[in-house]
Amino acid sequence: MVLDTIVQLKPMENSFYDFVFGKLKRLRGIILCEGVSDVEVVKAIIRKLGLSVRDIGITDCSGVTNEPKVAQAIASLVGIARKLETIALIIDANKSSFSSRIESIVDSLRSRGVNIVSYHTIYNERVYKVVVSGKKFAIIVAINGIVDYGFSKYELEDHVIKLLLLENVLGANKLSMYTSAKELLRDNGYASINDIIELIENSMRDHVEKAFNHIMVLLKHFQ
Amino acid sequence: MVFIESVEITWFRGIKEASINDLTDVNVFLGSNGVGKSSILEAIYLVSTWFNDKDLIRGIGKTDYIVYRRTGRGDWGRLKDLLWYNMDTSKDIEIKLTSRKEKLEYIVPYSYESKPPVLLKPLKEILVKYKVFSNTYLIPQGKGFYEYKSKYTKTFDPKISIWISSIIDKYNGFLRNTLFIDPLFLRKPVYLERFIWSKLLSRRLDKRVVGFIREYYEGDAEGLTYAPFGDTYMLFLNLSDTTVAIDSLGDGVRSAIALLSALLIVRDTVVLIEDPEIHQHPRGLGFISKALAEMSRENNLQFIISTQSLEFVRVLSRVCSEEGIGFRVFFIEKSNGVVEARVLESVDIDTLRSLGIDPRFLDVL
Repeated sequence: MVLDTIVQLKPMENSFYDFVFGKLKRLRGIILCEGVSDVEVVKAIIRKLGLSVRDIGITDCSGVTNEPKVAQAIASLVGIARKLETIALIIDANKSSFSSRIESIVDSLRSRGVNIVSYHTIYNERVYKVVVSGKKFAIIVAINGIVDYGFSKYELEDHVIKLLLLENVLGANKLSMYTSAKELLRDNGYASINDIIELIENSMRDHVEKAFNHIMVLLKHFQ
Repeated sequence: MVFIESVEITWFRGIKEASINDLTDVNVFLGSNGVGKSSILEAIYLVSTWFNDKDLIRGIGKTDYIVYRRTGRGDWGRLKDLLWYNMDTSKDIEIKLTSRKEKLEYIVPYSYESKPPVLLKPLKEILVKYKVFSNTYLIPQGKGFYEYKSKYTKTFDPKISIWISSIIDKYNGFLRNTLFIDPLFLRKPVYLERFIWSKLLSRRLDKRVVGFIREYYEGDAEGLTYAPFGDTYMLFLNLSDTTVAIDSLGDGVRSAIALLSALLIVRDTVVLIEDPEIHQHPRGLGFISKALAEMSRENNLQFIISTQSLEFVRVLSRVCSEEGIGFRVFFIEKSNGVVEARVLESVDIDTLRSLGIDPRFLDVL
């Protein structure tokens, strides 16, 4: 029932053995996250919700909001992949609106020679499908962040806070005391990624679904 | 310089069909075992026999060497069937090379019994001047033609064949001195000693070899000497306080000496190299990469290389980038005999690695 073959591609020294010993014969899709912590959160969500995501690789683009790096990663995959069915990107909105963020990503891809025909939202202006000319696979982009919380940046940690609110671990009054989700989490006992993973594992299933609904929509493309 | 822009192969070894396009100055083939990397090199080497069957660095016919090199046995006459796809000799081997935008089509019909066995479809220029029937091919060096159906061969007047050769030379003349450097060559110093050494010496290119050895392998290397030993002669590397027989050198140094020596004696041609990374420490890979880049520029050589070493690809990529030399990686795959190539630019290789994907496993994508 639970995922059995989502493969963490980094560090390369580990996935290398999966490739060598034939555990990985084919990747149907790749999930790109911004950083290492984001990868761990996504994996925790997949485990908690019991999603079956066979032959999928997950990796990070070395942290920071490194859009050129993210765009290059996708551009390279678009150019050289032949068997991928889906390339998925989970990225923070940062200080942009969701529509500006996706526009910026599409522009970055186009500037790297990716021939994008169109893109459109498939969930609440938060998850987008990008269509590339001549390619069968889809690029799905899920954008993290909850604008209503009023933080200075919109990021994955916003959704962790949403989970805390749903679980009644945190009161809504706390939100106005902070300018960033990371600070709030740090001050309330969720400083490390392990704390966040434990939270996800111990939370109610439907709360996790609600808090990370955009990631759920993205992951459905792999099932 | 880019001599060969693309190559198409049909019915050769394990290749039912293959098409490699957009070749540049330095080209690297990556891919799993058995996908056809070496066979593509051999196909180009086979075509070169139309111009010259004599192997410059081995002293034997290229046609025989293609059969012999993989397992150290056989020759064209006895084992040529091995070169046909699935040993099905009912079809011809076809190899097409595009050079200067002109595609030259070579075939190897099983029925053609002479050596070298490669025939060339005449270009329009030749057909216009010398009306020949369809299904007529030029025999090696344009010395005559072979009529396919009747299996009839006729030789031309020498003036005609010289004219024909000059036409073909414009496009593929560079193939005359094509080198094929494989692990067997690199392992056996006898080839260097018998067929290369005198050419090196006559131009004092031995000094160049020693200079490279000094920089990358043996810091106190002073010279190379060809001297008697027992009942034979062999090469020796002179160090500051001793002299070491080439047989006693480390495999990496010996291979490097052989490789560089071979490259120094040719120019204006294509060099095919199989697995140059064998026995090489990463510093040795640095040496080889630099040597290839220098020779590409100085001697106007195009390289087509097969390798399993990602380290070598990375080092070579960097060196070519620094030297402003064209570099491209082709990931080769095969399914049911059909070979496909995906082009990997340097940025793609770096990107794949940064994502945690070893480019040698690109077939999973």
